[in-house]
Amino acid sequence: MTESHKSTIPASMKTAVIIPALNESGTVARVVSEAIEVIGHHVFVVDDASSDDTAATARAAGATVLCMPYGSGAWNSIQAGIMFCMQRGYQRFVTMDADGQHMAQSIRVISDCAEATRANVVLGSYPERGSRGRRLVWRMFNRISGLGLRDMTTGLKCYDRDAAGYLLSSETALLDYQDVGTLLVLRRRGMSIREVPVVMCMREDGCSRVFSSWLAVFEYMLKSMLWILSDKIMSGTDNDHSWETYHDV
Amino acid sequence: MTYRTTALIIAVCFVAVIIALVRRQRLNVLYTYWWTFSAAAILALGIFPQMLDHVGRFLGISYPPILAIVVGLCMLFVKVLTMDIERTRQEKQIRILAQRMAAYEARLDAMARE
Repeated sequence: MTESHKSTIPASMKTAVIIPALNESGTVARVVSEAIEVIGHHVFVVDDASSDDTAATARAAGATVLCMPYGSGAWNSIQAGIMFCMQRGYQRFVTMDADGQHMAQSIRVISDCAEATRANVVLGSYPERGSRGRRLVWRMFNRISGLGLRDMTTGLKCYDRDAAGYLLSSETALLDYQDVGTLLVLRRRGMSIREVPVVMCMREDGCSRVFSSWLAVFEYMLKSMLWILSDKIMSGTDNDHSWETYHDV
Repeated sequence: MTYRTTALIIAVCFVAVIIALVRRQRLNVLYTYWWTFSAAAILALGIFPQMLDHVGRFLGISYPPILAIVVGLCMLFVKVLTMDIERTRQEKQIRILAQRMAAYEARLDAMARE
């Protein structure tokens, strides 16, 4: 069964686009069909137990849809999508948001950059989008974590198979956001991280899930600080993981 | 009622509840050991409260009943900590299980369509 799926993917284009979606029925169809125009039928929407018809809309637009059994958060949805695409033999995994702020052309930009630079992780960055407060937080996290990225909270990322393998481990299952924590895990594994500038649209509806309220911001800051601190303690003490087993569960 | 009878009543009730839970298989084996041990300690102290005075004097504690409270708090602390560790492990398992389930479902779905 896996073999038959592998054969349907052109050898030159082993890129999967993974879109986590939570109640995005208004925008997901357009995001999916634009992505399909760029990349073909390698678009995977992970529906995070939405209460609207996000899953059906995405399926109708031509995406393969994974449904989380309960609301698990964007990061866990992305992990599910990456696992599914790993099983199907994809080589490169592009994540993007379902709210329409990332443009489909960016998939090309980001995977071309990954191809050209051979970086394990490529971030599509658009630092201009953040508010002043948010940019201050980014700078602070950059400073203490030593990541040195301009836009680390972007949802537009490209992982190669090595990086994705490290993202499917029991330690990353407890992360909640796909930024500081995951990037630190990848850096600890010796993955190279690069940024490429892209253009993003302003959000069409709703607001950021991570920064939805002051309490959410506080929770985000606390968790990120803890991940940075534990990274400083842990670095160099880890063993290798293999994603097939997802072991040490 | 004396201090001794109150302690005895509390201890007996506690032991009865634990035995009932263990008998109905409502407690995991390891938890059963922990709680049986606690019940035995409480019962022993309920029946022989003077035990505390002896141990307290031996350890140089001027007010022996505080010893029971300190030991009890320490045990509760250990219990809560191990519970949190266990809960984190389970959270991890549940998250990974949810992801596997979503992936398998999508695979089944694709197979059904072929």
